[in-house]
Amino acid sequence: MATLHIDVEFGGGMELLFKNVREHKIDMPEGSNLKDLITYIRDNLMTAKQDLFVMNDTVRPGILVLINEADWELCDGIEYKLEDGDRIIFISTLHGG
Amino acid sequence: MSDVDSGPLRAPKPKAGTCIKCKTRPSTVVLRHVQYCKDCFLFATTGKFRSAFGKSAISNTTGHKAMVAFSGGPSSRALLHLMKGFQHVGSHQSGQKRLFDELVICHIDETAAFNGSSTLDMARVVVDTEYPDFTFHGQLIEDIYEDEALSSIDKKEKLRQLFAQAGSLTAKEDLLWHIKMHLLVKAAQKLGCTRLILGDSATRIAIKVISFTAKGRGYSLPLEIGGDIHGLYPNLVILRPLKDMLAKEIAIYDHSQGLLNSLVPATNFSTMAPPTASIDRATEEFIVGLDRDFPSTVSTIVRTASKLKLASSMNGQSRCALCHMPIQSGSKDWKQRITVQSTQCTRDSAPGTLTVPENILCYACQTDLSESEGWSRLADDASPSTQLEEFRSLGYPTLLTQDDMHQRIKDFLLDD
Repeated sequence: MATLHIDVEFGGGMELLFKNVREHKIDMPEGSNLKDLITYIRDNLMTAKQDLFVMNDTVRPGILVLINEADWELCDGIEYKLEDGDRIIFISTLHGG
Repeated sequence: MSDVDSGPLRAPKPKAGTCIKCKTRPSTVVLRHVQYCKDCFLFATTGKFRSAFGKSAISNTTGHKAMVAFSGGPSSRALLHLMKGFQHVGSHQSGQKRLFDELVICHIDETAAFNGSSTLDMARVVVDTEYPDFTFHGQLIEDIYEDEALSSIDKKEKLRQLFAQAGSLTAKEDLLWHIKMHLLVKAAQKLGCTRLILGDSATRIAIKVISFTAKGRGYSLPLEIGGDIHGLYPNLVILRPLKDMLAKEIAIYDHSQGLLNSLVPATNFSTMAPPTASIDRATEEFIVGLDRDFPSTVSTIVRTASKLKLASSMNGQSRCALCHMPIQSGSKDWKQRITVQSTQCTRDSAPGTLTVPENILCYACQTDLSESEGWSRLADDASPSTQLEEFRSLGYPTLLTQDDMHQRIKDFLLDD
């Protein structure tokens, strides 16, 4: 089965949840959607505080998701079907002032 | 490879339409159900920022030195960048002067309260490299103690003790904010700034409306959320030019301008804290969650709260020693009416715990402090000057000037 190479980036303070590493390269099986990616990140990149990233199988409110520079609300949100080379950015919108 | 891989903007999928403004480019951002392309979004954002200054005739900018509060978080990072564009255009257009005569960027390093590594240098580097026209002013939070006999280590220790005795996380967060506000106001006044610019977003203001109400700060709420506040501090106007921008707009702006790489990491009491850790955190969770499903939540709260007016009873004389907000008189009577102060079947409450020093503290600060050690020392039957002395001896900073204090204790002074 083909593999999808996904670039994942965390910003706005979210990187604190990922040992301060902002950029990650993640391989997902073909046919995966954004929800699968989020679950993968929760289960493989996080050792604690998972609930600050994921809530009810989607990202916590207040986290902005950009799919190839576009608002995920324009791209089917959590159901978006990943494609090879996609760049997914998670940005915390409420951290500090 | 599918066809969406071809252009630079390959993302917009089924639901994406075209931008509502230019009606030609595909949209990449949704705000309150409205779709924009990146260029039109940026144009609208800078326009909104500009009009925040243009709205009020009294917040004119020329002849004024302004201080921008820069924590280094997403909002103040965007604020700094927007101010640069704002100043720049102003200075280059013919016949138009620079907006503010001078801009001072004030960063408060609050890490002493949390054992973190200093943020001062990071903030300084951001300002010095990207905004050389602005003046950087760094301030250590422990310098709230101005006693020169104290070493830096002593001050840090004193500050940590103050926070350690402050009780709940809510009380700690409030105290931290009051201290930061003290330092900003003091720095602004010392450096001759007549404007203090804060980066509160619409989302933050909506959260404040609800949490401040919950904490009993309703009386002074209009002063805490207004975009243009005069008279709260001598010769200093508080401005909140981001008050019509959602946290989401600010995050997209930061990202599109490449500012996310130069945020100053914030470590404080609520960092990584669970959603119910404090009133502020719980409110944030509530508002942001609601806003996801109902995207007009934030703007509805902000617009409704902006109609609030200050009570006519507010005379400006009686200010809280901790938060400097006006004190609503009669909170003691009111508290006694609505709360159970003693019960016959439980053991007697310790004497002194029910006293309310409403002469020097507002209702909300009384509530915060009632959890702290040393509260009972602020007995209500003492004169305000004694209360203030006790208050200071507990390690709390106060912004009150000699005039304020004289006003407060004048009833106890003998005539000359």
